[in-house]
Amino acid sequence: MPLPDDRFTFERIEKGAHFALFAVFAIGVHALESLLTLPVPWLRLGLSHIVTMLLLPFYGSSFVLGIFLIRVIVGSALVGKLFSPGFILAFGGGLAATLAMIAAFRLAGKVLSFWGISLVGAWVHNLIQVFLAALIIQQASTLLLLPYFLGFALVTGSVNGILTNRILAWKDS
Amino acid sequence: MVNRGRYGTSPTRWDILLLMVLILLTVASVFAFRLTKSQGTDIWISVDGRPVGFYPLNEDRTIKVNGPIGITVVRIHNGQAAIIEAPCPHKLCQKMGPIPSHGDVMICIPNRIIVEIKGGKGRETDAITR
Repeated sequence: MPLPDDRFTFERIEKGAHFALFAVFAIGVHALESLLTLPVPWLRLGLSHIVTMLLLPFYGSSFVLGIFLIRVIVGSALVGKLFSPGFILAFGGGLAATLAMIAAFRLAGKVLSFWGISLVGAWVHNLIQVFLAALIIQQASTLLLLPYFLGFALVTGSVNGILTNRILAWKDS
Repeated sequence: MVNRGRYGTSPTRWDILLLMVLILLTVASVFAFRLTKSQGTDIWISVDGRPVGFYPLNEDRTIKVNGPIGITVVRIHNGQAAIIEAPCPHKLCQKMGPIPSHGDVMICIPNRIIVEIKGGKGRETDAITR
């Protein structure tokens, strides 16, 4: 009977160790960002999406999706927001954004830089978040916030995307 | 790991094009709420916090409401409610004009009268999140 050697190749163990390291890093970024005080309480810069974009070209879709799931659950638990309404918004928006960035990178990674990928992620994140908020509190008037949140996403998406571009360009130089 | 053309790190014309499209969609989202606004079916009138009347919007009528400083006249016409006469000095409620949608309110503070449109979709509660 052959040993299941293929399950314990060096590459797989290495990838697992990297996953653990980057998960801790992403949780840290997520938790610190939740504690960051902004003038408006529900606005976030989306710094943890930078981690997603930095990892995407090197580790692939399922890796970054796994990192997202762990960081949103453990990160929210660390700051005491697990399963709060805010968590549902962060989870739904973040999941949609992660999937959107994966799709954008796979479909259009050849023509878009991380600026474009980040814009898609931030915009989808806030779009889904406002719709979820409208559903949770059962108030259609919540949609009045949509233009502000989408406009804000264009700003944070640009900042995060250009930062990601700079980091990767610096790494490659 | 070396970048072998798997990703780009300088802004491209497609990034700019995408930004333009998203700006347009963001501006268009101003209209998202308009689509969900629903016509109200009834009005509630209260004086000093006490409900004094509940009227359907589909029948035209004129209602005289007694408040602490006089009589405020509310008129229902063509499915819309409006305050057409008020005893207060500024007549802000009168200047508001007719209100048609669920959740809209007309308030006369000096006469302590609130007219609220009810019915249609939506719930009355608000929420707080952290």
